[in-house]
This record gives sequence, structure tokens and C-alpha cells, in this order.
Amino acid sequence: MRIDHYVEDIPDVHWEEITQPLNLYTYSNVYDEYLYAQLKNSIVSQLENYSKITYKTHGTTFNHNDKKLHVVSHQQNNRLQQVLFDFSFIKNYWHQTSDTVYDWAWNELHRTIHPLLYYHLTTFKNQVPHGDDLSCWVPIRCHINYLEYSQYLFTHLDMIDQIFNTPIGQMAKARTLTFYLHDYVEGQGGELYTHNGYVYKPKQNEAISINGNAVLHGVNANMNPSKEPRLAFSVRWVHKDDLYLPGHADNSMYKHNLLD
Amino acid sequence: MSKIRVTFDSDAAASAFATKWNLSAPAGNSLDVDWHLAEDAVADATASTHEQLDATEHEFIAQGDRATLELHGTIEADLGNGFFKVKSTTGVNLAKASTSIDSSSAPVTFLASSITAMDSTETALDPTSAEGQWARIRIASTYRPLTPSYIMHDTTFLSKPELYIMDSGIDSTHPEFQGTDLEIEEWYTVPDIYAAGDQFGHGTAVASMAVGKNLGITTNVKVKTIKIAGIVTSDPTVLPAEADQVFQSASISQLGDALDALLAVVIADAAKTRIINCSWGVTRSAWLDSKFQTLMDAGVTLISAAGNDGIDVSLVTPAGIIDSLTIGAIDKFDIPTGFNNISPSDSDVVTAAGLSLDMFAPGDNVMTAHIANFGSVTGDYSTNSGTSFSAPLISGIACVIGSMNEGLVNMTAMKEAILSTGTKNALLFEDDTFTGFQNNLGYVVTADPLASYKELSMVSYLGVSQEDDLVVDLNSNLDLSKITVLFPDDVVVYSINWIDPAIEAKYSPYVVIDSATGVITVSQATGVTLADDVSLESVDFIGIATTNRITISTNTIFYFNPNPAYSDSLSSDVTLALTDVNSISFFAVWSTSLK
Repeated sequence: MRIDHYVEDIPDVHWEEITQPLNLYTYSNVYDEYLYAQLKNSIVSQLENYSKITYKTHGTTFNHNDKKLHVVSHQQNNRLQQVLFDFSFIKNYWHQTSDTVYDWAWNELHRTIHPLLYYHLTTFKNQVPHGDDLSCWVPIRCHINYLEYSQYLFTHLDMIDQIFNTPIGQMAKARTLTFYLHDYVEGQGGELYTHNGYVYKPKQNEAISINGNAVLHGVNANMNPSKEPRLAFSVRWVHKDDLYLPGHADNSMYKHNLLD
Repeated sequence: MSKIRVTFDSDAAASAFATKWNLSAPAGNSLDVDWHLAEDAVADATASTHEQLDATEHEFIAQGDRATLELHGTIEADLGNGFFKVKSTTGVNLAKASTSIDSSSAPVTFLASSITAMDSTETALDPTSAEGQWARIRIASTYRPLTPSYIMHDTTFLSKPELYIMDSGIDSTHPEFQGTDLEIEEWYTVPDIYAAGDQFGHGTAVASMAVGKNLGITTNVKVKTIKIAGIVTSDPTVLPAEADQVFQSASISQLGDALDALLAVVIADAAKTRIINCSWGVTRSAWLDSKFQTLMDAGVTLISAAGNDGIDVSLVTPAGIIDSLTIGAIDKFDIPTGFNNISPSDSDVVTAAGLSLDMFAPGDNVMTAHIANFGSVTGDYSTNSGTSFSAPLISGIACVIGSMNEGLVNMTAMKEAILSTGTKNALLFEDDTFTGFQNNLGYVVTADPLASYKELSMVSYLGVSQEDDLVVDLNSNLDLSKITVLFPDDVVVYSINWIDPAIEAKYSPYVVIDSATGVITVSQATGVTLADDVSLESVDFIGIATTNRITISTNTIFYFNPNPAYSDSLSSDVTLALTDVNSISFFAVWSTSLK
């Protein structure tokens, strides 16, 4: 695996106060051919055999007074997401503290997720930037990025603030690691861009880690003429010290009336 | 026991032959091998001489031209398919004249999932716990996360298959087999072995994985034992005193006789679904292969343990038979165990049907029923490892599929049903030992994938009923995919079950389901007046899909009927109501078909 590091040297053109410049790690040739093929087959199989048992966060909206309300939703541009795990859905997660969450999370992952995905997580557990602070980074969510023909992902920040304990205006230590299962073809879209204009063109068997909670980014439309979906999967990592862990599920901020 | 001494061209050639057949490493360039390896030793280009270690007469099962075989011995019987029982004092010459040879009286050496080499450790695990049942829970789930418990849809069994467990017998008095509709019949015992029960424990453990009430897949089965190992006795009804007990397994010839007995039953009544579970293996025997092939051609489904020796499965009968459904073992983390037999030739196979090793099931540290003589542990349950315990899980699946049919007597169809409904690419192959087609994990087609939702009291939320209709497709909350694969012509009828009669009385006119498509349309309940102190009323129901074989239900689906008097606070009322659904709002499951 080859690792490259890139840091944007200019702040966001419009949102300097509430964002950070892009901090990007690129990991090339992550797996050998055999393991990569397994990983791709596994992701495709899980999509094709979409299991109702997995958590569904898309479609989590309802209409009221002509206003679309988002509860804990993730429905963007009708883009489907299949969530492979999300600790905020697990009651025991909310009982953890910063001292326990790391061990709890990794044990839970070993027990509950696809072994290839666990292997993937362990592959990146000790790589920069997570490897700079060992036994601290918690993968809290993973989903398959399935961008159908003509769909895009508008400019956004990853992760909702409610999972962090950082003060308003201070960015949590969080990373979004995306692993790509297809090659970019010039002119066919599916590129990741930042608000400042940095563009990443996906390559299969390549991963990128960005400070997605702090840098405005999006994905332009998938214009693959054969209408194949753009396929990748993302894991969101958060430093244990920056997770909001109230110690009991009933103390979760999600009890709050966020929608009013 | 008589053997032949084979001298190879080099020490390395002798060592290679030993490795291939899982024999002890030779000291030099010669090996003493059993007769069932004679034809392979004769055919080996690196073997220069073959010497019979004794000159006495032996009885063989040899395959070849009758006239040629007669040159080297006396034909005792024609066994069919080109096999003959031959007596000879010159076995080496007979071997050279045969395409296959076995010593008919030699006891079977159990190579795979060995009866004599099980890893058995005592455990205090509770067989009713999720941890104790992890094996069957794993194959009642598809991709992770797993369902927390083994819960089945309501299934109408159209028949009761016969499961033949060819093993060391079964202790039918074991608590694991009590209190259900399971039937166990001690059907056949090879000669000279005590017939009743199980004196070793392997068969009882194997049976528990297929038909045990806590550990198995289904009890809608008639189990018939074919006892091929046990205590030697002159009277099969009398168990010798403990001090005189000698354990013995069947000979090649006796195994063939047992399969003949089964074939006779199949011929007499061909309409019954029959499955035979073989959690054992012997060095590849062309004669036994032909017996198994005849059974499969007659409609019996053969399910074999791949074996635990890390050798090529094609060297083992019956696991190596291409048409056999051969099962490897995975551990608790969905990774094939290191002890699995392998199948190098499968890397060239282009269809799943042509594999030697077909699929996987849990077989590492799984809980099984236990009897006192099995290993050095006590208690009714123990933890065991081996492909022996993977195969019966798939046999259980075969019984479920057989039960949902009337007279499924086509092994090809049964194998296809099991392979096609398996979960693909859910396993991690750490190296290239296994190929993509083999990344197939058995799946119990009647398992309820929403069991976890139901157990956690998770609910599906449709939204708020106002001017616009709420529309939901029940298929977004039901998984009929496996049933559709197996029974594409079955008609599915959708309906609603109301939980509360009072709610039903008020709202049933406003909740309309299309019984053919499963689409539910909720219109505004214009005729319902809510009490002054009620801002929202939760309307709960369960969606149902039925065929003539199965009834599949959703978890609870609900929507809110709002009281117009509370329109100013409706948004916060809904939010608070949702957070109360189950402590935190995340414990509601959101429907995919919201409007």
C-alpha cells in the first residue's frame, strides 16, 4: 500500500469560520487482487441481496405542514444508502464512556460485521492518521455508497454534530474513510470535490481519508453511459475523546426535541 | 492387516505419496500402504516395485474386466457396475489388473470428521442460549449483523422427509430429542455390532445439529439411523460388559451393504423425500462411490462432511463425489477453519453445481448433544469442532426444503435449492484455498429475518395521516426473496392483522391493502374524532404475506392520526411520540416507502 498526504493550503472560500481545509490521505493498491475481488463481491452481494434486517436510515422523513422533517434521516437526492453498521443504533453504545468505547466498539465489530469489513477496518486501524493515536479511533458507522445514474451528492459535512461532545465552533477529530470499487472514467462524473475546488478521481482498490466533518465536500453526478452505479463504501471514524457518550441511552441527545 | 510395500524412485516421491494420502511420513523411499491405496500405488509413475507383505488369501472388491480379474483370483460374486468380490493370494497382481481395489474386510479408517479423533471439550453453555445456538442462528441469518435468536416463519409442512444419519447410532433418549414431533428409528446396523443407541456419541452429536430441539434446524423429520460403528457383539441385542467392550467401525463391504439396504427401500417407495447425512469419510473407494451415485440417481440427497485433514477432498468418499453436497466448516467469525479438507480442482470449475466442496456451515466450537462416552467430558452437551457438525446443519436445511414440498425426490433439484438460497460472499477466505463459488453459506429458508426487530420491539413508522394518503409497499418490510427463488409459481396473498380490536374498528376503513401487490394505502380518517386530550393516536398493525406453504409477517407498522385541535404543536408531538417508541427514537425502523 502506498500512502500520500495532501493538505489544502487555503481556507474555505465562504465558510472559513465553521470549516477546515481539506486534509486528505490517499491509500493506493490497498489489497492484493484476491482480497480485493472478495471485498468487491461481498459489497455487491450485500447490495443485491439487500437485507431488510440492516438498518434503514433513508426514507426517515415525514411531511408536516408542507415541510419535510428529517428525524434521523439520511435521504439525499433519493440516493440509497445501505448502512452496514451504525453504533448510534445500538443501545449499548450509549452506555459507554470514553474509557470503554474503544474496546467495546472493536469487540462489537469483530462479532457483528462481515469479516472482510472487519479485516478492512483492522487494515486501517494502525495507518495514518488513526495510527498516530493508537487505541483511540472508533469506527462508528459504515455504509455502502451507491450512486445511481444521474444522482449526485450535494456539498455537505459528514456526520451530525449530535454524536460529538466538542463545543460549538470546534471541530471534532473525525475522519471519513472511503474505499472505491470502481475506476473513474473521464467525463463520467462521480468525482469527489471540495468547496475550494479540489477534485479526487476515484480508482478501484484505492481509499481516501478526509476530515469530512470539517471540510465541505460533495460528489458530482454519476454520468456513466451504461448507467452503472458508482460503488464505494465509507467508514466514519471518530476519536474516542470527541464522542458524545452520555453514559445511558435515555440521556442521549436524541431524546431532545431537535425538530422544533 | 495385510498391506503392500511400495518402493518409490526416491525418498521425495515416497514422501509426496504419503502427503497426498495423509499417511505418516516415510523414513526412506518405501511405504507400507493399505489395499484401498493399491491401485493408486500401482498407477503412480514414481513407484517402481510393489510387494505383498503376506502370501495368504484375501477377499477384495475389485473393478475391472471379469476375465482379466479371474487370471489373478476367484470371483466370489458379481457386485454390479463392473465390481466383483474376488479371493486372491496375489493381491498385487490383482491390483495391477484392476481399475479399483479395496480389501472387503478391512475396517474403514475414518479420515474426515473422524469418529476416533474428535475435539471435544466440556462446556457449561446453556443449549437454549444464543451463544449455545450460534451455529443455527448463523445460518438463520444472511449478512451480519445476525438475528439474535432462531425464529422461524409459520410454515405449513407438506411432507415429513426421512433423514438417514449414517454414523455411530443415536441416543434417542437424549433430552435434545425429547418433547417434539421428531421421530427416531433405529433402522439399520451393520452386522456384529450392538444395535441400540449410540455407544460412542458422534452420531448423537451429529443428529443434534440437524434435528435437535435446541441446536438443530427442524424437528419435522423422521430420522432413521444407519449404525456403522459401535461395540462388537455376537448378538446385536446384547451389549457386552464394559470390560469386554471393543469398538469397531464397519468395513468397506459392510458400508456397501448398508447403502444397498437403503437403495432397496428407495426402490420400493420412490415418492418419499430422503436425505442421507455422512459425517465421515473413507479413502476414495470407487465401489462405494458407485453405491452413492446410484442412491443419488434414485433421488436420495447425499450430504457429506468435507473432512478435517486439510487434504484434497477428492481423495475422500463420499465427500469427493462431485454430485454430493459437500460441506466445509466455518468458525464464529465466518472464516473457514484451518482443518477443512480442500478442493484444488474446484478452481477450474465454472458452475457452482460442479464443485467438489460446495458450501460452508458453522463447524468450529459448536455446541452439540453429548453422551458420556464421547470424549472425556460429562453432561448432556459439549462443544465440538469438525465438518461433521457442519454437514448436518445443511441436512437440516434439506429437511426444511423437503418438508415444504410434496415428494421432492430429485437430488439435483434439492442441491440447486440449497445452493441457490445460500448466502453468497458472506465469508472471508484468507487465502486462495477456496474459490468464489464456494463463498456460499447455508441459509434456512424459513428463518425470519425480521426476528431481531420483533424481539427488540422495533416498529416501522409510516408517518402522519393528513390530507395526502400514506402509501407503503409491504414488500419493503417483508423478505420473500428466498421463497420466491424456491417456489416462483406460488401465489402470495397480502393482508393486515390488527393488533387492537378498538383501533381496527375505528381505522380499518381507512387502511386498504391490495392483496395481490401488498401496497397499503392509508387515507385520512375523516370519520374518526379523537378525544380532546389526545393529540395523536397511534394506529398499529402487522402486514402479512401468505402462500400455501408459509406465512410471513412484518414487525409492527404504525402511523399517527393527528387531532386537528393540536395542529400548532403537531411537529413536537410527533417527535416526542417517536422518541417514546422505544426509549430513543433510533429504535423505530423507518419504512422505505414513505410518502
